[in-house]
Amino acid sequence: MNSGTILLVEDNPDDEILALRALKKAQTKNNVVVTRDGQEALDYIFGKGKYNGRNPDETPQVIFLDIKLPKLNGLEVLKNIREDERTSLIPIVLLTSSDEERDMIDGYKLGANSYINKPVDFDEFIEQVKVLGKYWLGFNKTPH
Amino acid sequence: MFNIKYLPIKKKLSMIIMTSALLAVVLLSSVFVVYEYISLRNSIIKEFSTTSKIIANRSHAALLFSDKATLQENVDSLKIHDDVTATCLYNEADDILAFFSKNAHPETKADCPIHPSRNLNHFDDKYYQISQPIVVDGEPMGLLYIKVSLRSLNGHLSTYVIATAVFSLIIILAVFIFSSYLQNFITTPLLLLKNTARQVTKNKDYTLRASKESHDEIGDMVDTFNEMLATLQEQNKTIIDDAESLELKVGERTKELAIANQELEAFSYSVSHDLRSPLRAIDGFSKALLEDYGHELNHTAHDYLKRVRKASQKMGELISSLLQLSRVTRKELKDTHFDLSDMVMTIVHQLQEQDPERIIDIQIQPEMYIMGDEQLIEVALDNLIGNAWKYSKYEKFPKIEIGYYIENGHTIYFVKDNGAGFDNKYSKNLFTAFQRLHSPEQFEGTGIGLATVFRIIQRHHGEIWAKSVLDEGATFYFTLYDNRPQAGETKSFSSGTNPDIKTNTGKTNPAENNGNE
Repeated sequence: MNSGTILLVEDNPDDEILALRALKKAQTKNNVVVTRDGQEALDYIFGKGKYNGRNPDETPQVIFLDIKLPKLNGLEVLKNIREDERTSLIPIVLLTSSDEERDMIDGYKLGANSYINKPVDFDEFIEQVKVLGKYWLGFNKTPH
Repeated sequence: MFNIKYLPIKKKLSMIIMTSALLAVVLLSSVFVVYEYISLRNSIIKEFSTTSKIIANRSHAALLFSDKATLQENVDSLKIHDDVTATCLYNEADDILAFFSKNAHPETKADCPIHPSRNLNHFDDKYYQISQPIVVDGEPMGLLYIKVSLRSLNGHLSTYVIATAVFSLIIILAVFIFSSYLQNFITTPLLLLKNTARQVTKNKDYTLRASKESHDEIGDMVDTFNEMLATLQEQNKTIIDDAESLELKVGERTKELAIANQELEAFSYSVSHDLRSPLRAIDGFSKALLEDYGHELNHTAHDYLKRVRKASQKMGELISSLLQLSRVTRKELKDTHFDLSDMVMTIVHQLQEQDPERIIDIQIQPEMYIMGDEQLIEVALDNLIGNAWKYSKYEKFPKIEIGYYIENGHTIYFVKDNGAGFDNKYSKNLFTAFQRLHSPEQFEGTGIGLATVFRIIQRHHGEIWAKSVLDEGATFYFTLYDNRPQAGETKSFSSGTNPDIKTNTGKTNPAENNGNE
């Protein structure tokens, strides 16, 4: 498996713990960075604010991005990432609790690579993370 | 054909006046002419009866003595009268004793009748003839005859007629000129009124008013007309104001509705996000607890945690169902024509994949084409077929049938199973949200599925109903953009006459066969 960083953008601490647990259950060995709102996520990616000095060229291997976030929501974060040449190709998996089609359509329109509808059943969630993790961290080749 | 009804009022008035004037003038002239003629005749009669009497008297002695010279003298005395054409004097034996005639030779006595009538007093076209008997001492002695030409009388009469005619013409002309001028007093206000009325009708301008030109009945009519216009103007204003305020109200309501819809959408969006994440935490951490600390917990604790997980998952399903119900209500309909049989097959295939051990006899009528919103119809069929699948799970030989039949021109689709069924007396609660006819231990479910189906059918202007025999199965019927056949309608088809109405199994209304299975 690839050794790049996984960026998890999640404001809900419960969901954060569960997502990390799911990643662990899915046997991912990658380093996971957690940011808790949209602005912090962008700061991390572009090496600004709290993350001043971080090299933006070291892009995360994959970003797990919750749609509902404080400050900037997930779709706005996605838009910002896609608009910048340096980050436009990072694989992004959107996470959402809702099964609103509108969110999914907006997400794909803005250039999301995958879409996880976080199920209530935790077992199902682990399955999904396993599949997606394997795909984006293992099989899929992305340009560097 | 000429009809006075179609003439303009001005011409009508002219015609009435001119006809009356003409009639009056002609009558008057005729009276004058006739009167003149009669008085002329009377004056001739009077004149010559006197003259003839005088001459007759003068001739008594001469007649007694047969003095022809005196008689001739008496007769000749009338020669001076221009109009007398002949005068003849007879004895009692009708022998002419003296005469003169302007028209013939004296010898022929042409104008003297041979046997003149004794009391002649006669007019014809050209002449007036009079005879005067000569009586002496009561004894008739002879007769005087005078013939008078009427030429001068006729000439005088002709002149009189011409003069009357010319005078009549002058009168008629004067009447025409005067009436043309005077009738304007009637026609002008009428024409003004008419033009105003026409403009009002044409331009729908109720602010116009007719001007009042006279203070008679037409003036009253103008007043009434103007009052009517004022009323119309007021009513029109009210109508326009009402329409405007109605439009405003509709606009407001639409806005309110849009806001309410937005709120509903925001509400379900937040429900879908915010209600689920705590549930996920409950389920996830219960699972984590079981995994990480399971060895420290006894059997009861394990059971409790499992129940917590099951309950949270159940609530997750409930939220999904509710959201689906609200989405079904909000979604914009996109009607297309599609193959329902295909859709049914896909659904059945999915159910079979989720539940591979179950063996069910499934009959799907092929080539059922339908008009509707594909996404919504799929949700409805998912629910109906899913129910049939679920409620036939305790059946030894489960059977599900999906098809349609036609009754009185209404196309009715049905989903039929031979499962648990329900008591018909509760059937009216079937389509109410959260109403369940079975216990969750027996058959799990949210109680929202059929409410969702109902809403979908309703949005397609169709009807849905169900029939069942407890423990023998249930059949759900629905129509799309059509009504359910009424009880009074007679069945217009019989099985086998129309291939369209046969299901795969050759049955018609599947409920009728429920009891035999």
